[in-house]
Amino acid sequence: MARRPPIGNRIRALREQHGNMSQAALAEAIGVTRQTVIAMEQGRYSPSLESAFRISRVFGVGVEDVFSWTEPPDS
Amino acid sequence: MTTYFRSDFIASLVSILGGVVILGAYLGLWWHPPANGIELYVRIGIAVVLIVIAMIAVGIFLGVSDRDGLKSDEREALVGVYAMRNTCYAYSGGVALVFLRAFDGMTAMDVAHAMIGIIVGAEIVRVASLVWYLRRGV
Repeated sequence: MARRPPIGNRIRALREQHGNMSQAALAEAIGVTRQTVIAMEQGRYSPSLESAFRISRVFGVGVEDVFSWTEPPDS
Repeated sequence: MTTYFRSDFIASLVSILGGVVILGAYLGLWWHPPANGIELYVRIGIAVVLIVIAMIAVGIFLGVSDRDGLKSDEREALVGVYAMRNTCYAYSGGVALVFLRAFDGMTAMDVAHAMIGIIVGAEIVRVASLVWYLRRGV
């Protein structure tokens, strides 16, 4: 398995909070494939800065409300 | 999967098939080895034309069936870059190998088919890399 990027996200939780938005709907909203949204939620892919901003705009929150740095401080 | 990624993937598969047909003829598995360079060029030319026709047909089919589909995806673009990196490793390794063996009595026909084999091998590496990185992540 490829090394997981040290970035966590709350995409799935935010989708559920926004009327159970489907992965496909979010993918269409930000201009990526559904598989890319799945990979983001599973932590297998970190989106580009543009996509990160698009996701946060879809949910009406800031980027740091969606994504967080997860790497331990001493690594 | 975007239309571009699918057609790119199919292009690699079609290229592999064309290369395998030409190599199989050289090895005597089917048809006959080319008698001279001109015949080899004609075979390669026909293979390229058939590949282009196949890709046009695939492009039309995907364009029609996937009319509202996404044209590009950032993750697939990144997967393509990583796969192309591996393909370049395969190309350089293959060319280095042929370079070493070329002075050991390989005929021009042997070298030409070895280069076709490198292309087939590199495209196999590319297809495998695309699948690997798409499923496992980059």
